[in-house]
Amino acid sequence: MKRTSTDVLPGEGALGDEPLLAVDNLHVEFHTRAGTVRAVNGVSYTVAPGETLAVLGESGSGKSVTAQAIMGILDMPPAVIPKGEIRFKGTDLLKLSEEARTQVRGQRIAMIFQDALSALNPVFTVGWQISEMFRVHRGMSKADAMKKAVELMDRVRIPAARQRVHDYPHQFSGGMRQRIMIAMSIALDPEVLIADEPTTALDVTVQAQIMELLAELQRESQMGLILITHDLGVVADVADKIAVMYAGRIVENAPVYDIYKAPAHPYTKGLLDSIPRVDQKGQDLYAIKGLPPNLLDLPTGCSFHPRCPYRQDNCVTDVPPLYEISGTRGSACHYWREVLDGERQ
Amino acid sequence: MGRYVIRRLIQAIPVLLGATLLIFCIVFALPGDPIAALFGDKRPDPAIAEILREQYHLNDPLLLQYWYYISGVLFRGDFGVNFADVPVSQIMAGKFQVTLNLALTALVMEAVIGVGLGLWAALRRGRATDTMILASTLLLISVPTLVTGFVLQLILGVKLKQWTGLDIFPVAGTFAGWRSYIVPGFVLAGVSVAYLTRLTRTSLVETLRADYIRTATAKGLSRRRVIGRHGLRNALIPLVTYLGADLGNLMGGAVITETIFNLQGIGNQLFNSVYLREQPVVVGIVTVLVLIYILANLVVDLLYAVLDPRIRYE
Amino acid sequence: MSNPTPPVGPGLPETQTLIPDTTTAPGKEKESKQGKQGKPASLWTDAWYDLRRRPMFIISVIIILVLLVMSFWPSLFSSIDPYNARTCDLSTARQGPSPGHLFGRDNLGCDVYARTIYGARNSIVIGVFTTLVTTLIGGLLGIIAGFRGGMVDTISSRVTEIFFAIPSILGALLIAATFRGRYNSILLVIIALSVLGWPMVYRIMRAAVITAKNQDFVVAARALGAGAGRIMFRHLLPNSLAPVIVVATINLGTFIAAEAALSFLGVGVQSPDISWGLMIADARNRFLEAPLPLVFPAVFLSITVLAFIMMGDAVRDALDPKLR
Repeated sequence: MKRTSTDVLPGEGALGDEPLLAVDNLHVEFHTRAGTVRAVNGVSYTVAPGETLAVLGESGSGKSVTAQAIMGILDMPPAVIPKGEIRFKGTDLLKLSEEARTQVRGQRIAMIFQDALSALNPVFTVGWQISEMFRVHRGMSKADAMKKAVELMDRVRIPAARQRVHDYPHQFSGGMRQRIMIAMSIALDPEVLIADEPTTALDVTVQAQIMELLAELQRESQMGLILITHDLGVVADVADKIAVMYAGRIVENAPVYDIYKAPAHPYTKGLLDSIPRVDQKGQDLYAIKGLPPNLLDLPTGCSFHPRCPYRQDNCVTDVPPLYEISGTRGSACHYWREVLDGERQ
Repeated sequence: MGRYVIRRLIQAIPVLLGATLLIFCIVFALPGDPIAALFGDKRPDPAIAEILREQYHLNDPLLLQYWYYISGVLFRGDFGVNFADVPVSQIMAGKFQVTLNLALTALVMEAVIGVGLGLWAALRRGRATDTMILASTLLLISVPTLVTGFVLQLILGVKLKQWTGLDIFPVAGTFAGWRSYIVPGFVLAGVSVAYLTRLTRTSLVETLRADYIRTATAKGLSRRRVIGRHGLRNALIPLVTYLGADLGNLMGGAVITETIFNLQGIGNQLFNSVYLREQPVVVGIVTVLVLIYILANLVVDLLYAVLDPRIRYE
Repeated sequence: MSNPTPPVGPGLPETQTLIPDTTTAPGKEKESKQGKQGKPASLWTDAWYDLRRRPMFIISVIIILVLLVMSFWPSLFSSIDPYNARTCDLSTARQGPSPGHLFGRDNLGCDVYARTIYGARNSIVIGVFTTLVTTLIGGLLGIIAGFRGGMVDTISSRVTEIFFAIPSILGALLIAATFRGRYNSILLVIIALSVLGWPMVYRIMRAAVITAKNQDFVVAARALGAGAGRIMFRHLLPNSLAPVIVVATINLGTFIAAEAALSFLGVGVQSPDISWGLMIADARNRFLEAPLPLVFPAVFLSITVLAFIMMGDAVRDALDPKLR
């Protein structure tokens, strides 16, 4: 049926300094009846092969919208991308035809969704859904594709894969369903895998197993992994670097170790302080004051200023750029030095 | 699956009994003595009238009469005789054929037009085509059968013949074979076409919003495959339910269409039998209609189980 | 029909995840952002705001208002009283439109315009009262069945299925024909349509109540020991009313059409009362030579039904913006 997609993208191979995937100054807006929702306002990040980037933020921060823009699965309209680039191996995906993007989607950049029960089609067997990848993209026969599906289910360690391949999604447990989702996404050995809150809907013990599985698959295949989450705990063990998002912007990015040691943005600091820790038992838990921002009507200046304990007058008027702290680290706070030094106002 | 079928069958029994009993009660509340009516203006010999009453169980309590009747229907397929000793099943047979033809014609039109328009509207949601289709469904729902019937009879049956000289759609009766059913079938289907169009549109629009559709897109499938395989398969489920349940409605609602187009179906027969006080025929017709309704729903439930694995493995 | 009823226990708040953020879909994010915008508007004020800007709604309201005036004071529209037999003149039967007789004359030489105007009353009366009766019966049973659940629900739902199994127009025909001449014909039509009309309302009310019952504020009210009556009428009813109002409005239109059908078949409104269905039946024999006496009541009937269904549609869209 369809050829393999090796030669779809121009300029491939001549990677040079270009990372595997680079999001550059991306803007996404939703035009709704209530007004324009600015969901993503100039996000940039990169992922290298074998690297894990954790994108951290609360709901409405734009982390999922960014991911969907990369996949090209935003509903447009109402979504619009007025500015920005998403370069995959140097090619701007946003400039590709829909047909060419379809070749990238699923085969070279794949995605895992949060709730596997609703993300899997209820009326087809899991085997059918996994093998569809091989039938449609590799032109395999039904039987061969099904054999591949069983192999994949084995690989993500679903017990009795040979029998269960004919079962429907609702017959699996939550953890097993997420494994099927993962099996489907890695079917064609994608170079980038985006996992959008892959463990949020699961029990804590199952969460750890799924994260371990993802990390292991990544080690084997050297894919770039973008892990979207709101849970700092999930990130610490698996991520190489972290991008913290707030109100559609990246407010801090840094290698994972640096951030845990000393955050350089008040929002990151707030997030870290609000994790319960055993050594602080009995103390009051810290909470970030105020409410998440209204994307229809963002605060002036720094979007975080109404909630920020470090706020000065210029925070209300000047939008902070992403100040470079070191070669691998940046913070979008005018007073990142104070935050970094731990001086609370 | 087997257990599911059996459970559905058992659930259908009280519905059948209840509905027929209800009709039985209404019909036998008809004022007047059917035996006296049988003799017309003459006064019947009291002894003969008594024998007849005994023969038709008219002296027994209503519930017992009902039991004689329904057990005959269910265990022997015997719908009894009318007061002129003609078997009711014989009276009904030909009429049911006409109404069934009419209802099936309507059902096919409904499925083709309704699903087609609904899908078209859903895929063009928010645009002019969608608005046009929705507006026409509103019109189809609102203009009563009574009106569409006469209007189409005039335009397609009479005027078209005058203008073109071709007798494509007969005005009335069933003399022209299957062609006789086209216009009446459309008239009968009208409201259902509109509802099915809307249901199809809603169903597909909602399905296309589901998470698994996003997954299918993320798998790199073409839009055609995403909608055609992943969307349609799920959107179809409520449509099958509606279509199946509608067969009963169409057969039961055919009386107006049959009157306008002078088709000798069960609607007409029922109407005449009500006036002639032929209770056995009236009850017989309604009983068969209830049976059809129940069977159609049973088939729908089974289809449902085939289409939706979540029910099958319940 | 047989869709398994979802288990109806109170939703457990404990099962919610402790993690504050569970939404990631961009659609959801968007909606929640919109929700925070502006004043906290209730479902009804929102819907009302939306309705006032819908041309379909405004048109249907105007038509319905005109119809109401027409049925209360038909003499405002017509100087001829069609109930006065002397206004008919057999020698002018089936005459076309002329000054003073805009719609022409029917088979008996009566003025079609005046009869059409006066026909509105019976349609409206039958439509409104049948809707009231079916909504009250169906609504009350629905709210009780939905709230009580268990045996009450099982039994009443089975009974409803029985009524659903009987074709409604045939059932109404049967009842109307059986008791014809015993009661006022208009009352009889209302009864005949109501007997088979209430189950639809019952189903919708029951489903809405079951949904509302599991919402947190109702669970809380029960936990606080509110009585059954109070929960049903103060909490469940207002929150289940929207779909019932929509279906009642649409039903009103279909009942008017059903009245016309019954009258057309000769078991509805009886002469000398005037009804559009009756007028259509009277005109049908000479329909091909003189279509106007049939066309005008048919047009009025269609517009009336259309107005109610259009209004119901607009209200539903306003209350349920999901499908826009």
